[in-house]
Amino acid sequence: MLIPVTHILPVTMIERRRVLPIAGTVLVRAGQQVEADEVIATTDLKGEHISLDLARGLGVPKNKTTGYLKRSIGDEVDEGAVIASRPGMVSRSVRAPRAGILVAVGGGQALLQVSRKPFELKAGIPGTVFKVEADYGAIIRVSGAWIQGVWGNGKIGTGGLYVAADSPEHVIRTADLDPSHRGQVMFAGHCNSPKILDALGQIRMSGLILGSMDTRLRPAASRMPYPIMVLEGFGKIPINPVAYKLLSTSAQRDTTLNAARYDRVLGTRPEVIIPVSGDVASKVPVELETLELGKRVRVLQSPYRGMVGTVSQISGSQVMPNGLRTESVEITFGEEEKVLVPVANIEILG
Amino acid sequence: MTETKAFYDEFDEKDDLEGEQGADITQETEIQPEFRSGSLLTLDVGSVHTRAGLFDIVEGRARFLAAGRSWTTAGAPLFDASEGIRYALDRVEEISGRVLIAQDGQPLIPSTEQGYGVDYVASTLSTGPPLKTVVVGLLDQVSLASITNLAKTTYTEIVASIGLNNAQGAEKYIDTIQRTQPDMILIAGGTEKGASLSVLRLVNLIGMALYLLPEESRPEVLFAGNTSLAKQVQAFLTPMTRVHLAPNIRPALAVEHLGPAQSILNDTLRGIHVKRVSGLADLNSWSRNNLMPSAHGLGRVTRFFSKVIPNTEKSGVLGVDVGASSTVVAGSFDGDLRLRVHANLGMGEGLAGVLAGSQLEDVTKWIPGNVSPSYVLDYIQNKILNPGIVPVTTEDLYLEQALAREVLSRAVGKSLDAFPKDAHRVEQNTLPTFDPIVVSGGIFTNSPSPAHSMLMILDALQPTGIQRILLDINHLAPGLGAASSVVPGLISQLLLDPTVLVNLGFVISPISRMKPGSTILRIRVKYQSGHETTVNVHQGNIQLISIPAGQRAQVYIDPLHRANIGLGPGKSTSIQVVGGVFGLVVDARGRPLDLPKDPQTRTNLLLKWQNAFSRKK
Repeated sequence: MLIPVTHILPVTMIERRRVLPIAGTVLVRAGQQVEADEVIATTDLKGEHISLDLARGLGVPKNKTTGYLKRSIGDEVDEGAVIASRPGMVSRSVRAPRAGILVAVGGGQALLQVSRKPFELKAGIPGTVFKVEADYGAIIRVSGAWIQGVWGNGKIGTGGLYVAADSPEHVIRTADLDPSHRGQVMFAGHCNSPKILDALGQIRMSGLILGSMDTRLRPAASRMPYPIMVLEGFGKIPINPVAYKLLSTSAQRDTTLNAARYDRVLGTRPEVIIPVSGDVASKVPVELETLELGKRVRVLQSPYRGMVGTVSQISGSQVMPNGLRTESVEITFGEEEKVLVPVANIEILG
Repeated sequence: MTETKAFYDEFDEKDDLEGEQGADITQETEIQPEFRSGSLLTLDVGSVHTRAGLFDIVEGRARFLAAGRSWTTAGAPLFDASEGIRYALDRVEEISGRVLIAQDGQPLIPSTEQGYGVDYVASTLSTGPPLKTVVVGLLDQVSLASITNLAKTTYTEIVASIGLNNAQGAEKYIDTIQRTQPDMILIAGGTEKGASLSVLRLVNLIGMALYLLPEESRPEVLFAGNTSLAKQVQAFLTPMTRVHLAPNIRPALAVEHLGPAQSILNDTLRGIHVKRVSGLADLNSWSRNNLMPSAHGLGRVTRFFSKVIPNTEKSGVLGVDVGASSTVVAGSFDGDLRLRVHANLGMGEGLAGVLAGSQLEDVTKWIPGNVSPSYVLDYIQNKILNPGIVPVTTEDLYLEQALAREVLSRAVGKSLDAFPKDAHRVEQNTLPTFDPIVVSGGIFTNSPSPAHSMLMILDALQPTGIQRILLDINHLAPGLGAASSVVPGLISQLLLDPTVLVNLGFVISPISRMKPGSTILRIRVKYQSGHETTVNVHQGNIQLISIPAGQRAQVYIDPLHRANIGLGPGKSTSIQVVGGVFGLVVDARGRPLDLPKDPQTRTNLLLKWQNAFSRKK
């Protein structure tokens, strides 16, 4: 049976394919070192358009307009430039209402692209360009600690790690906010106050790694200018001991927080990377593993939500306390505590 | 200056379009080979689970043999649906002891003399995000409404709606198409021998938008408008993208005809998914190029029932499937299928639809006791992140089942406009009468007991009149619907097999204005053994009358005080009932269900209803 894997690893090889949505210009070369927020490729997404009614403007049938064009597709035109004109006793012309590029003509109409929407693709992780994909992007590799989360607000930041969480049950308070940590990535427990998020923005933190967050903060967290990642989920959930140990012992290390939005289909997840120098790891970890005895797993559902243990028995179909029958495993927490958990409610930590 | 060539050949408005014959448009054709003995494998790739079902002829009858389930692997990290399919098939092989897959990983089709493999494969699909769709039509209430209805028959998300009445200019629509980058554009417009110029103007607009998109990002186009324009539209757009033609969905102002276009839309979707998701091409070829949206498979099942079940009361047949991402509502009325897929309304990622459109009380009112709003919101968010998780505590079970009630209730409520206006109803504002009601979806089939499933279904749907509730216990209905065109004889046997669709019971839901506690029905049951029993039903209660599973009984129903069971106030009837899990369930709680505001009274009432199912009479 295949079980999804969440990565919380002290040292591993991380590989990311970063590509543009449409063809553009790649700005990096193989072997080049890049920072997480460095632009590696750019393109122009189509901006706003204005449609010009040539047939009406020229006073000719729609299928006769192309003969009167004074500009070609792809031409840049200034505001007021003549796009098409019809000579005669009373000449008529159609002019560009705004500066732009003539992008299409047909059906008696011309289409002017009057704004561009530049798109910049950032590296997302710090590392070395392993391979360039012409016109689209690159594959970047880095060795380091890797911690995946479950929710991110879509932003990227880098800074030294400031460990505010003094225990897995930590709740972030105003006392934890200190302007001297400006530019750092903060690691904290649970957050339930929008004021805290605002204050961190004012201090100009480079990022916030939370154990958990009150659901009602989601809209505010999405709006914050700095990256926010949640490790466990929504509601008050202790930080799992593996992530807590790894992050709490990494204070001051350079940390990249890519708070990518979680997409189960595309496989994008928010993540923290704490790079180490040199290629200390050579294998990219797998994303799915087979359920086996001894595997370290995290529980995803109450009543043991967020707890980490090892699979001590594959128990088959069992009845849960609420009467539900489901495929289950026995998990051992610590030395002795053994509990029955549905297979559907676990993920492998690897 | 350099002569500028138009990016396409312009339409000549003086073309004599009236003289054109309708395009050669594919009609929905169902393969109807002779029924012969054979085994069938159904495969359904859902957004969370991939399921397999095996059927064969045993002692002259079609039987369900085994089912297997695995995680769907069409998305990250494997991006290959075949892994999940293989795991589900492994499970079926394990249970049935039958080898289905050859060494090369391909299924053995047809079956061998040694009994390996299967003769037929039918496959269905509901995985992946809904396809981003732009709908284009002329008038809001006419072709634009119809093309929107067509889009809603399958797994789509309408990202833009373009019509003549909309206030935005052409360039805004072009910008919208550029920005949203749809997967598909559906165009309608013009009745037969009706408007053509306006349709062509819209097609021009679409052409321009397509031209501006990078070649690899251009959406496919389906044209289902005035058939006299079909060939012209195809010739015009084909240089830019793939164009599919369907019969006019609005051939006359007052006529909407979605059926044939639905079939072409399914073909379009299949093509898009097969190109995008690794592993689906194989699945499609195993099932004779007939990989079908799961919703359509369920729709076919309801259509089958509506054709074969004698129905003097003009009741329809309802099929519902609550999945992780979406919910399907299929109603068939004398063979006329009305299908709605509510993408983004389900029990996993689809809970985003509940967050967006429901009030918290719509969910919490179904939970006995008090639950904090933040707990509900946290639970929903976590379930969106991990759609496969199951509740372990009783509190979480109550919450999950409350969410299921809201999801199903909302989905059916949003589908009512798809049902015929003259569909039979017990009262004006009630759900049309349906018999049977086929229910699919993990939340109903994986509940702790059939009582939980039945109560969720009754609370969410609030049916009226008399109907059977059939539970698709192994989620086989979509696959059987897909197979119905290939092996119709086999399917007709299987759909009536109580191990495939479990008969939860006959439900009688009267409508009465009497006070709670008043006797509103007198029911006399005459069992096969000759034994008789009479039960008085009181307003406000759920009462169960036992009829042993599989046994027949004649049931005489006498409404009192003008109670209505669907035949009119006070009108009696007699029906023959086959015993299921619960025999006869009389839901006399009234419609719509009115839950008390006081938390303790409400909790007591919810618990009383739960307990009703543990006291069979």
